[in-house]
Amino acid sequence: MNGLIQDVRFGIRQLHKSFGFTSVAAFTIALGIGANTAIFSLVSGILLRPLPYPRPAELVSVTGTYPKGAFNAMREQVRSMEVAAYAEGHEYNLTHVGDPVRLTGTPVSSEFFSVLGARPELGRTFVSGEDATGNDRYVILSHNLWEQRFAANTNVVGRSIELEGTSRQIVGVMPANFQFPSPKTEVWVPLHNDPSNQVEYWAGDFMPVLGRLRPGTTLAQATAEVRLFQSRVFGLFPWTMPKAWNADVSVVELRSGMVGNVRTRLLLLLGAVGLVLLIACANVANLMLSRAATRAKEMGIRSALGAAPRRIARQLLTESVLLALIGALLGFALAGTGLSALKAALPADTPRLQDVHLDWRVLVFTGALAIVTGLAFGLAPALQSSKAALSEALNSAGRGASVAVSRGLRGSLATAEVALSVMLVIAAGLLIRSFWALSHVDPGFRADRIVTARITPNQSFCADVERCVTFYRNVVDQVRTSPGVSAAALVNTLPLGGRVSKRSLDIEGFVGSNDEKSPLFWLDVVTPDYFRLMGIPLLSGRAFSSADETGDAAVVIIAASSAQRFWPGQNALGKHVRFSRESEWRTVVGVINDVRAYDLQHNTPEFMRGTIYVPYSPKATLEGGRVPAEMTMVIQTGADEGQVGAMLHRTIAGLSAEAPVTEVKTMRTVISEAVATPASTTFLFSSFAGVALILGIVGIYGVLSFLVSKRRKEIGLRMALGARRGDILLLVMREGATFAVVGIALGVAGAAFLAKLLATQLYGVSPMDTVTYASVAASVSVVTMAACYVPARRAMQVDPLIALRND
Amino acid sequence: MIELKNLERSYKTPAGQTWVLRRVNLEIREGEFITVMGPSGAGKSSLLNVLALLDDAWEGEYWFREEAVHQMKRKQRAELAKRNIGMVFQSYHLLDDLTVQENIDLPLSYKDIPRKERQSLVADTLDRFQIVAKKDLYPSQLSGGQQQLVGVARAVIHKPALLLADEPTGNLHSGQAKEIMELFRELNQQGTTIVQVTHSDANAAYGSRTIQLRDGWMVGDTANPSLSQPAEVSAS
Repeated sequence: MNGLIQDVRFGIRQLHKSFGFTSVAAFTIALGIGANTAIFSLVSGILLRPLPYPRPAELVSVTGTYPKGAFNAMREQVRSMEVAAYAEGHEYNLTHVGDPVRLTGTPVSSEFFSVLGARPELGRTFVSGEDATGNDRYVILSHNLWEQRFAANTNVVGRSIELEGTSRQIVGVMPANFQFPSPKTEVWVPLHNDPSNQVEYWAGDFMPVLGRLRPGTTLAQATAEVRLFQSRVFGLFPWTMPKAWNADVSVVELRSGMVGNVRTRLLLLLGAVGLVLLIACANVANLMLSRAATRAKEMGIRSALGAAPRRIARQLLTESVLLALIGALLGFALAGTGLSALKAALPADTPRLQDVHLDWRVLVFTGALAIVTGLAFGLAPALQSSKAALSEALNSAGRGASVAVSRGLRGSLATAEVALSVMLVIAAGLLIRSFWALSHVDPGFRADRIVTARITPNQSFCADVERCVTFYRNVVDQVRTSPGVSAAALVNTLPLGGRVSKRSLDIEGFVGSNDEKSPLFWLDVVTPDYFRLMGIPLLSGRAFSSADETGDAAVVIIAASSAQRFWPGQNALGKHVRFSRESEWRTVVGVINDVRAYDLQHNTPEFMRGTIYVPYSPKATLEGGRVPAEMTMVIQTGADEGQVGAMLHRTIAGLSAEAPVTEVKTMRTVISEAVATPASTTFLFSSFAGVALILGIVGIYGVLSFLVSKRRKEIGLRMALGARRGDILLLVMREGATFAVVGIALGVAGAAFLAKLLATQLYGVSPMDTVTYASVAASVSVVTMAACYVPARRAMQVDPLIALRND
Repeated sequence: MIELKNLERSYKTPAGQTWVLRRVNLEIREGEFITVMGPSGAGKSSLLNVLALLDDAWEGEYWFREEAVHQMKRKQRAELAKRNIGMVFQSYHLLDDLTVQENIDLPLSYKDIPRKERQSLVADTLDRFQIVAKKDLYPSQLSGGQQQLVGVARAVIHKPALLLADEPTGNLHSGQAKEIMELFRELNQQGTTIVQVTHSDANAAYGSRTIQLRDGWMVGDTANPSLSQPAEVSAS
């Protein structure tokens, strides 16, 4: 113990003495550990931290989604766990509490809170039976909403509020840390279980299901039971469900169920920063080797005085770990500063982002990482020095050998640094090319000079179809004639807006399998100017006209790929489609270009078979037979979104006191938000690759500089024997080139492996894209050669007379 | 072959200018074997470095076979040295990572000589110095005498007209020293002009002419008995 204290004391003195070395090494380590700490805090908060509910290990999630009817059957039949369901993507207008406001709300089954074990801050949660029709006029507020709209009034429980035109009684307020399923949730309302509304009950929301395992039940048992239920549930539907629906359903931990594909991206980023740390370690190991060379005499004396090689190695390892701990402290501070920027760089819908912060877990991780890092970069130099010390003490002949070993080791470290950098830069290059490809996808519509805004009157407002249609007709007319507006139109589901609108269709002449007799379509309800305003080309037939808005003529326009799919080689014009469970056939009057509506890679989600447009009219019914109440206005204008927002608020307020205007943004912003996830992954990965490349270049520069300084005499001699400056330049550059070429070759091979892991994140570029590989290899060659040129130039300046003077 | 006229060399130090060679006038004829002697700090090695054209920062005139070296640019001087001069060092200065054969080949590698010709020259030299058996050994595997033998072989492989040797036997015992000096005599007899720096009278005896240096001044030359000590030196 005394020896260790002595080692620590001596180590601190040594690091203090070599302040320059300590600063550079600690900063390098801080970069590596800081990046790892920041990403680990994401991993810890999102993937590892237990959910903030009692007995979180019992909480599970079912991988499939179920409509109300199927969920209620599951609730009755499944015994291995208590289940609850919640529907996503709902919004409600809160009226008569200040200005009308659009709230994000989550309809939940009555057991939702009890399954999670969540307790309210005020009042109570829902009790059994409160999700049945006729007994469901309740609401629970989020802490934020309670503070902002109700001034944190503790008497709010029992009061009634109007949500979406329906009066609901506030039964409770949840605490600030309850944010399930999302921090955006502002109200929770009971599911409206109404078996008499067959469409809504069996085809409305397909809801995620969560559960709490009963004592003694395993995930496997729960999965087996849910699969058994799944095999039976088909028979309960009033129609035939596709066999593929929930085919691979299973029960997983709720924590992993919540994070979805974020896991892959986080693990990729963790891998990237792991490589950055390895490069930093190699860099510092090289610095340590250089420093060890200057301390050879000290080690020789220690050895001559009886220090065993192990003792010398321990001394040096103690110094390394001390150095790593200093780096870790700095890195922790860097991570603390960078974490908020990192969180801002991630898409806002990243799950559990609110759980991400630096806490004791991250601190323990950083401390452990520091010790491992210290040992990693200190081991080779320590072993090297202890061996050298022995030979130094025994005879001077061994020196040449140890220098040669050190040179080989340095070369290997520099080569490894280049290889790891190349791996990361190629991976970043693939992501950048993929992002470029995604950003340059033709979405099928025009985005310039278009501002969009959601208008959301209550559903009850649109129960009176004529009132709803008239309202929107007036909105369009007034906005269209507003100053600065060239055109205005409405669509129920804005392309790339993050919402989905679906409807099953019967298609004339199409005989699908039992599973697909009435394929599911993306249904867009639009006003006549929509296609022209959005620049969506009409390929054949005609666009909608104002005459179609009456609904007298039942007409549709179909997307080109959908027409081709269902009527291959035929003219779609004049064909007919029919909304499921309706009797009237609608005539196809136009074929329109495809639009990337779901995301930039897909026109529709995979479970949909096509896209169809209907004119906004009393006949433009969604599932449930109602006309869409929520519409998005698209406005062609040179004004910015602020001006348009103000104009819209004025216009809408004049037409209805209960229709909030929200999400006023340009179409360009809508597109940027659609690529936010790949943008953030690409940005973060590229940043880490940049750091890696800088560290790699510094590494190769450091090694060559050291070698040149050690070879001054040799270089001087070569010059005395006739070597020209060009020969010397070549000599040093050749050495650097060897490290670079081997490093790049290894890096390219490593990147091919890494790229396979990245494949799911790539779009429009192959994981083996030769352009990326070749251009990165060429660029890194140029950059490393530039790094080699500096020490090579210094070598050219060696004065043979001075180099040989000690003769 | 060489004529130095009023050649001077000094260094700037914090204490002022320090002279290491003062007004040196020296003529070296083809085929001579000159020994430069003098106490430590007399300027012997400095003179040798100037003759070897390793040092550029001197003043005065340096003529090499009628060519005005003092008017040449650095590159031209380097070319001249490469063609005509060979150097032997006290501590051999062999490259540790190269074998005997590769060390000997080193000066040739910096000339535009075809590879085959170089191989042939190296083989001849190894044979001539009787070190064929050692050609694949590294310097650390040789004795001091053997290392210096390689050093001499390397210095003469490109058949220089002038061989400069700075304390060539300084690190050798007397037996090895004798062998090296015999080798120098043989080279001299074959036509190589040699200038050696030494403290050893025995080594000096191999030469045909001895020059004495003291405090940078040339104070003695057996070929010019009338050369007298300068006033400053004699006064001190």
